[in-house]
Amino acid sequence: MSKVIATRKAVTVNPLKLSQPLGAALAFLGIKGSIPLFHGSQGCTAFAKVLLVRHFREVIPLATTALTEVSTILGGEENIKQSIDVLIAKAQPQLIGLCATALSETRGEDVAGILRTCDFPIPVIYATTPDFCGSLCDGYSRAVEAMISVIPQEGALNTRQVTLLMGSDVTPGEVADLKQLVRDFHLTPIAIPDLSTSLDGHWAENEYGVSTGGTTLDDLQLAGQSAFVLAIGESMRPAAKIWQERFQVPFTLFQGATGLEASDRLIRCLMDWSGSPVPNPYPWQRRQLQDAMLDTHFYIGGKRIALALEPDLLGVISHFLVSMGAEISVAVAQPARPS
Amino acid sequence: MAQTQINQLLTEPACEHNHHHGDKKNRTCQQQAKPGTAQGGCAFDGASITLVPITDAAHLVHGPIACAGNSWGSRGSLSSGPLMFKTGFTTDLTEQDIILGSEKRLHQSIGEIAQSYQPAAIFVYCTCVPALTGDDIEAVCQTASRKYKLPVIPVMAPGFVGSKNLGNRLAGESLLDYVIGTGEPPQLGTHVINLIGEYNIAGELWDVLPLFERLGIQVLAKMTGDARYAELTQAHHAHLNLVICAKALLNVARKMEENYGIPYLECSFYGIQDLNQCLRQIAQHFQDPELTARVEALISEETQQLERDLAPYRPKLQGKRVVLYTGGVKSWSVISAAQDLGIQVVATSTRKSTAEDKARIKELLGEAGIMIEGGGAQELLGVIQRTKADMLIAGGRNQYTALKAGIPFLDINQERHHGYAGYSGMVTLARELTHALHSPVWEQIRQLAPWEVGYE
Repeated sequence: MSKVIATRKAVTVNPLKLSQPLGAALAFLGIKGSIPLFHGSQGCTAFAKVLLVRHFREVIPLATTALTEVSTILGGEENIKQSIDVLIAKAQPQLIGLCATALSETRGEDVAGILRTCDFPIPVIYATTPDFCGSLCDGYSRAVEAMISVIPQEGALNTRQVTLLMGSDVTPGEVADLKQLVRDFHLTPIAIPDLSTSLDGHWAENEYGVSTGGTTLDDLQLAGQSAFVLAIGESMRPAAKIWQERFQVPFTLFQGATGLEASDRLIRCLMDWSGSPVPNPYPWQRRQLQDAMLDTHFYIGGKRIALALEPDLLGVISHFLVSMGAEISVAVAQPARPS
Repeated sequence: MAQTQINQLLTEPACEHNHHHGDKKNRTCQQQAKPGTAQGGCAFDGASITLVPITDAAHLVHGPIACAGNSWGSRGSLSSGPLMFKTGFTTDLTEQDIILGSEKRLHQSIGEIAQSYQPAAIFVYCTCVPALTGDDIEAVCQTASRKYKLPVIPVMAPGFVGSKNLGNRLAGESLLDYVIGTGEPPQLGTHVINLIGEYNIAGELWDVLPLFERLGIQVLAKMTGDARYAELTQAHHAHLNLVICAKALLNVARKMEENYGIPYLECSFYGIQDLNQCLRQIAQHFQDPELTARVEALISEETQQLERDLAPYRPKLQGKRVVLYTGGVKSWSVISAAQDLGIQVVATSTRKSTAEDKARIKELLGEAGIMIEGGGAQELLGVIQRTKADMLIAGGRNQYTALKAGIPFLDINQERHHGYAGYSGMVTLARELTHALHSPVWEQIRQLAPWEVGYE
């Protein structure tokens, strides 16, 4: 029986929480040729940029609308327009991901209204991501929701195409594995967003100012024709629902793809969709996993474990550890975002 | 924060940026961030850089999560004792706090820190959101200070007032208003100095302090690398202020001269020539023949030792060409350190340099040297290509720009992991430069792939 305790302390000590705009930036970085743009003061961008650069050890394109005290009070409309014009002229992006910050949202800037009055040559996607609620996981899913509400286009359904909605806890390596898995079933995957080709750490010269890989804008538009939608991560549920509503295609959502049970369900699902038997090397990999579980259950079984993670990842990791016989004694997470 | 006060800081009379009125575009401290770019940190970032190194104080960030959550624990200042400053405190403002006002949460937060951690002082950093909603942070600090009987110091440097540089100065103002002059030192020597603008990055202060000890110079307050709160309160008793390698805290030095009659010198701890000059300037200031003799003895001893220590590196560094991309005073102080090692600096950035800095650079680089006025990654890489440089020395955020272009890189800014100050810092610098330039990975990654080589 688990007990949920909300903190009563006024002060937060050594915060394990990352902000919503940071999550939104991560999602936008999974689109090829994109630039995330924070509508806030220059520091909002600088801190997030340093954090992402250090984490991924990559060049991270991230821009600021550079709100000052005066422009915050009088309204940042000019800052938004000017930023987008400058970015388009300087870096020729395919897409700009505009993210709200606590500053712009405290003022109550009507960004959606401002964008409606503008006519930019490229898609400018706005995610409402104030720092004062939610965390990285929420900001990430809001950005995905904003993108798929607009960009994917309707068309004749492609019965061999699968849209993969990738949650914030799916690493670049995992996206690559999942895409390969889908391909091995003779299906065509389109991952949204696709960090496996943008933040996977590859050596490429002469690319500045925009994300060097990710879902292409063409694929993002084409994704609307997918006959199947696979969402990974509970926080992708709102996005999957939007998809269902827009394209009348039902979705399948897995909270994660970690552990024997989850992997089995995923493989079963792809077998059903493709009508193909399970391809190599997955039966062999399953045996390896079974063996690893047997070999390590002595060490993990009965251990009492404390976890502190973003909500999606917390769910996945605790399920896996419990499936190995561990006991989760304490789990720390951010409260879910208000819906 | 009144605009007049900000304007005063932006036109700091001791700063040479403000001496040449014809050269308006060169006043970086007054430059506003441009929309659509990715510029450096905000005023809050600058204030944190200046004050967070105070080791026995608690640093409480009053704002939403991004300000503290995306930044705490990332700074390179080290402590020889207390680790209070490493703990990240924030009020993590929620939507409700913002609507209903967050003064109460701030007051409670200060109370919880005071009671659970007993720090020497609490610095409260005002960020954009409470500045916008109009929380009276100074009043909360004052009330809490009385209630919990410890110094609670408001730092009014919300990000949106300006750049990192302005934040440094605003933090300096907090020190002047609330800290300096509130304590009495136990015992004073004959030659007492403060160090201003030295943050003990990677512990580099510890390569310099022993030199002062050997010379019989007492370092009273360090602003603020490895500082204890108490020493800052006593800083007004020093006989001389040394402003290290930074124009950012000149307002502190100048106002201490006005208020307490403490003169100041600007100097650099990087490079043999500059360090020697710095020590000689101090000796000259105190007009003490014995001190002068000790300084000369130390210089000659250290220089000889250094020659022996640097000998193995010299052949590997001799004649290498580097591009330097950094700010302000460092644009020449590091040139001089590089030249001491036989390295040729072929280009340097001058975007934050004063007219005097530029004159000095011209002298050091000669006619062929390129001054990079501005620009981003692309321009920087262009310069490296044109000058056929072997290496880039710059701040961490250009690290991956260099690596992606296949250029060896050395980090010179505040996030680095090695101290380059003092005589022993020169040996570290030589070692790190050698490693970066001569790493076996360069040859390997430049090899063509098997499918890129034609079959014979």
